[in-house]
Amino acid sequence: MVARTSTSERIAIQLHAIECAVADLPEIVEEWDELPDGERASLSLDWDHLMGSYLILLERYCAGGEMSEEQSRRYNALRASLRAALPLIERLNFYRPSISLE
Amino acid sequence: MRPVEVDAAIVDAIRLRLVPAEGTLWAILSHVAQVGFDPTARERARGELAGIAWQGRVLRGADQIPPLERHYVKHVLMRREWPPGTSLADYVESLRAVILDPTSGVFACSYQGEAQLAVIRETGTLRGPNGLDWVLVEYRVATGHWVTAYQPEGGIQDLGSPRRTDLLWLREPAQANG
Repeated sequence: MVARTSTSERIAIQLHAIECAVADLPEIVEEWDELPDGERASLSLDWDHLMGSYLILLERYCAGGEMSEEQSRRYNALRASLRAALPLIERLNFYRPSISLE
Repeated sequence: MRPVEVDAAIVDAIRLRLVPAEGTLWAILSHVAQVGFDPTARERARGELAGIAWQGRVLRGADQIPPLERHYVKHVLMRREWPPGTSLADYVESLRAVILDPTSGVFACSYQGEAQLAVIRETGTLRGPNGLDWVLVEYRVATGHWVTAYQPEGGIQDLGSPRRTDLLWLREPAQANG
């Protein structure tokens, strides 16, 4: 049985993954039409994973008071980034975040 | 079955809403298990992988690397979804085992308008320190190779993308808790 990481470490991994993916969105929109089919599918599927698993888990950790003050600050900033990125998400027809971004 | 027949059977399943016979499904899965990620393709490492030491160099976001390496670095090394010590070869073998496991669920669908076959199973011993409940491997007919492999939390919850349509279960996954 593999030892699970601490909740704090899981939150750090998940926050980092989504922060990076959101930061990549403008470049992906710019490159989209030139990307090979396999890379487009791969990027979209990875986004599904982030929105369908990681973001929902982060919302649970936040609601459960399991984030540090710093992680809560980053999570709020991430939600704001996602809100700002909604036009890009729509343009790519990517999985729209299913949590409240307000 | 020849590769072209496998791909046609997947496309037909989606188009005709037709679940293949057990023997045909096994032939499809045997083919999908052996193709792996496309060894000739290259994908950008992008931001999450930037700064990671990999094969004697530090990756930059703009670097182009094989899809297998990108998925391995992302899901095994960075996100720690697989157990510590999982090598590149272990990662591939674990995915092959999931594809060939008779308890795995199998579904066909269109994704971005192209046919895909996906295999999903409870993580079991493949669950790493930051692993989640399921392992998902997806094969894309248009490329003839795997397109992704990772551990989603809620099984089908990750499958709700607007880009995924016409989903048809060819075999439901068995669950340990019934």
